[in-house]
Formats: sequence, structure tokens, C-alpha cells
Amino acid sequence: MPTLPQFLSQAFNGIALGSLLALIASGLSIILGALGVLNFAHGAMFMLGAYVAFVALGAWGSFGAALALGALALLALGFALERGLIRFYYRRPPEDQILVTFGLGIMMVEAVRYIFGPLSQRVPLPGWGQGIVNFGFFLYPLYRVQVIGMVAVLLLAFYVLLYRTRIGLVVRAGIEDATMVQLLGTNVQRMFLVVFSLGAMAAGIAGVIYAPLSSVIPNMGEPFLVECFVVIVIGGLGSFPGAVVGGIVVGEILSLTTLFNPAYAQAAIYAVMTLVLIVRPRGLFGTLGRA
Amino acid sequence: MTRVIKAAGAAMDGGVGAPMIEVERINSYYGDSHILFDVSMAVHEREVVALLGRNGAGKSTTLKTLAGAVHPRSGTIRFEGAAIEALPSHVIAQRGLQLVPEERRIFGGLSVTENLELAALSAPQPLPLDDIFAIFPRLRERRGSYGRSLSGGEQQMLAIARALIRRPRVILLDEPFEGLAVIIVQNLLEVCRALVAQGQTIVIVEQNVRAALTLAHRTYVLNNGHMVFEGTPEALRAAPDVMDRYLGV
Ligand SMILES: Nc1ncnc2c1ncn2[C@@H]1O[C@H](COP(=O)(O)OP(=O)(O)OP(=O)(O)O)[C@@H](O)[C@H]1O
Ligand SMILES: [Mg+2]
Repeated sequence: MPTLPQFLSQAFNGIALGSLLALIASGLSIILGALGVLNFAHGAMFMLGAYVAFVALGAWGSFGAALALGALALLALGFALERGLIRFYYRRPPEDQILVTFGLGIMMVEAVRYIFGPLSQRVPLPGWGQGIVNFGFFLYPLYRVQVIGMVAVLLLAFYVLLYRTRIGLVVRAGIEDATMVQLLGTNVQRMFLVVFSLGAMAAGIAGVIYAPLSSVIPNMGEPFLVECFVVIVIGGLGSFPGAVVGGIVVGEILSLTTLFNPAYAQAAIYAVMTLVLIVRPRGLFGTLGRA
Repeated sequence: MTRVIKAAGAAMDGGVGAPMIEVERINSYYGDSHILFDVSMAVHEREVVALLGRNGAGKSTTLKTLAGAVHPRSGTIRFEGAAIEALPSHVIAQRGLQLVPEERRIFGGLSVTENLELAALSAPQPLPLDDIFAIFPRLRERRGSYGRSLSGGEQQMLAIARALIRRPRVILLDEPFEGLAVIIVQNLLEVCRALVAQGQTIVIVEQNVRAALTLAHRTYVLNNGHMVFEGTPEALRAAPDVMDRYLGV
């Protein structure tokens, strides 16, 4: 049996991982809810953010620069992709949307593999993130505490944007009924562009923040993408609170199961997902019944 | 076969102004099914037009086509002189042609106030919330409630209020009284009468033919996607064959 400090330490890991999942999944969920497109390239966008961190930290050693560059690069990529490609697929059947975003994801992963090679690369911790925090009865890496803090600030910013601004009002209404938003005089296409770009940016920022926790490798986004799907199903599609709570739940299940037997971690999240779906078919916070 | 029975005395009375909406021979489809056949109609400034017909006659499709939610394959729609049949629905709404859809389509996860704020977003000179709440005091009481928690009557009030806050040039009301208690229908009818008294141009679709006829200056009757009658309420009442065959009254 694990000791109490081991258990607490792993529970903290669950919050750190869960908050990152929440950040990635909230973008994915809102894109799905508002645009009706399931973005299979979302994991690859997270990976691109991590590689931006790898390059920027290697070149300048500045985490702030990596964060700014990762955010901007993915914002620009999201903007270009929505305008240049995704918007032509809103009226197409879901299988076309899946094929196009899946293809995009593969292209991103292969491009990175071509440029940086197939092997994993280490990303150093920022100078201010090195060290250990003493919680009294257990020790914990400082950077992981900072990850939780940074993601909490970002999620709060997301919340304010969604619930306290005009564009947020249009997004929440559009998730329910984009046609009616349009009939009330607001062009939802512009909102779609904002949502896709910001969703890509959030995935990129999550990648930058995650990079020093682990090593970067071209296909690192795949497990995150799959876990984010589970997060959305548990939380309820199109729901921001659902993505946050679902993220923490999945992060905790993955971390705590690993403590007992890592082989069961993936199975455990599907088991919980199934349980949630039996009790609440639309997820914990879901109200949408999309056909 | 399209046969429009032009009733005598269909000319405009004094209060009604210049043509605002001119629909000429539109044909609308859902996928391959042809729904509207060469439908023509006109709506004048300050006029209340009732669009009547049996279930499935094409009334909602006509309103949706006017609002740009359905685009006609042929024919023209002019609004204040400009062709609008190819415009996206948000542009049509911005020009002041406002649909209140049959299903009401309230945003269930938004509060009453947020529903109204969203509707006001793209209006150049929206009505103040207080003016809306003066028209519908019930909505003031429920302003913080989620749309999904409103009763059917409250939802219909909110659906109409969302249109009014935009100060539209024309309101297209699709079955505003459907499924509501008599007392609420009376209340909504009074609101409509007050709007008419202020000169609001309205196109109303109603199964409740009697209620619609008390409001309307002029009526159209659709049958299987064909316009089969045009005339004043008096002319319609004086045409029992039309009432019987196409309205079942
Ligand atoms: N989205 C749709 N797809 C396919 N057919 C449709 C659709 N909506 C309506 N129809 C069909 O188009 C025809 C006209 O429908 P419409 O809703 O315009 O009738 P309506 O006069 O408003 O009837 P009601 O009084 O029942 O509201 C009907 O035969 C209906 O079945
Ligand atoms: Mg109808």
C-alpha cells in the first residue's frame, strides 16, 4: 500500500495534470459546442505549443518568451486554419470534419517529426521553477505547484471571457442555437473564428506549460486528445464548468490509479465515464442534445 | 395550379403606407421537397398582415424565407426597395426584418436579461431594458432566471421581447399564441394591439384565426404552398368557401 505522503503527492499530480486537461478540453469542448466540429488536431496543437517551448527555452532560456510565443503562434495558426480550411466544413457531414481535422493533426505531427526528429527531447525547468516545496509531511516539486497556479489564472480568464463579456454571451448562445443567434442579427461566423483561435491558443499554452514537466516528442498530443474526449463526455459537451470539473476528475483518476497499478489508469477513466453516462447521459454539466 | 381570389375592397385604408416587403413568385425547398410555389405577397408600412392556412400549408416556411433562414431557389424579395432574398439571415435582421420563430428558441442557459442583451447586441438603437420590462412586467420579475426555467407563456413573452428590443421595422410573428392559456393570449393580444396602435408593421401567422383577424388589416391564405386568397378580414369572413376549404373554420 502507498504511504500517505505518496498518496498526497500523487493527488497533487492529479490536480496539475487535471488542470492542464481542463485547459485543453475547455477549448476543444467549446469548439465542438459552438462550431459543431470535433477538432482531432487539438492534441497536435498542444504538441506544437510544447515544441515552441523547447525551441524558445533553448534559444533564449526565457519561459515568459516561450509562453508568449506559444500563445501567439497557436493563436495565429488557429486563425489561419479556421479562415483557410475549417469554415468550409461547417455544413459538411461530421465524417468530413473528422477527416480534415484528423489529417491536419497528422500533418502537424509529421512536420515536427521531420524537423526535430522522432526522439524525445528534454525541456529544462525555468530558473524560478526549480526547487522543492515542503508541505510539512511531504515534499513536492515547486514547478508543479506553479503549473496549478498558472492554469488556474488562465481558466479564470476563460471564465471571465465567457461569462462577463459580449463575445462570451454570443459564444454561450451560439453553443445552444447558432441559427437563432444569426436570426437576432449577430454574425456567428466571426464568433466561430474567435472560438477556434482561442481554443488553439489555450492548447498551445497548455503545451508550453507542460513541456518542462516531461520531455517533448512528436506524438505526445495523442493521449491528451483521447483523455480530453473523455473529459468532455464526463463534463458535458460545450460546457466550460464541465470541462474544468471533468479535467480534474480525469487527472485525479489517472494519477491515483497509477499509484496502485499504472496498467489500469486508462481503463479506470473509461469505467468512470461509463458510470457518469449511465447516471447522466449528457454528462455532469451537459444540457445539449446534439444529434 | 395557383388561383388567387382577389377580394373586392382589398385596397389599403388610410393608415397604411408605402410597400415595405414585396415578395414575387418565390419557390422554396427543403432539400428536394418543393414547399412554396410562386408565392407572392406584399406588406405595407404600418400594416398588420395575417398569413393563414392549414397545418403544413407553408406559413412558417414563408416567414423563414423572408427572414433568410431559408433561401428561395427562385423569385425575389424586396425589403424597402432592396433585394434581400440572397442575404444571410443576420444581415436581414440588421436591416430590421425580425422573425419570432414558432419554436420560440429561447436560450435556455442564458438568463432573461442575457437573452435580451444578446438580441440587442447588433441593433443600432435598442430599446432600454426598462421599456421592455414596462411592456412585460413578468419578465422583470424573472430577469435573473434561466430561459429553460420559464413557463411557455413567459418564453413567448421573451421571444417577442427579444424582437422588440431591436426596434425592428417589421416583426414576423409565427404562431405567438400557440399552446398558451387564454389569459396569456389575452395579455399578448393587448401587447400586439398597443404595437399596432404605435404603427408597428407586423406579419402574423396564427392557427387562432379569430384572434389573428381582430388584429389584421389584410390577410393571405396559403394552401399546399400556393397563395389562394388575398383580402381584408371582412372579405375573408364573407368568403365562406375559402374559410371552409383552406382554414377549416
Ligand atoms: N426542416 C424541414 N425539412 C423538410 N420538410 C419540412 C421542414 N420543415 C417543414 N417541412 C415541410 O414543409 C411543409 C410546410 O411546412 P411549414 O412549417 O411551412 O408549414 P406551416 O404552414 O407553418 O404549418 P404549421 O401550422 O404546422 O406550423 C410541410 O409539409 C412540412 O412537413
Ligand atoms: Mg408553422
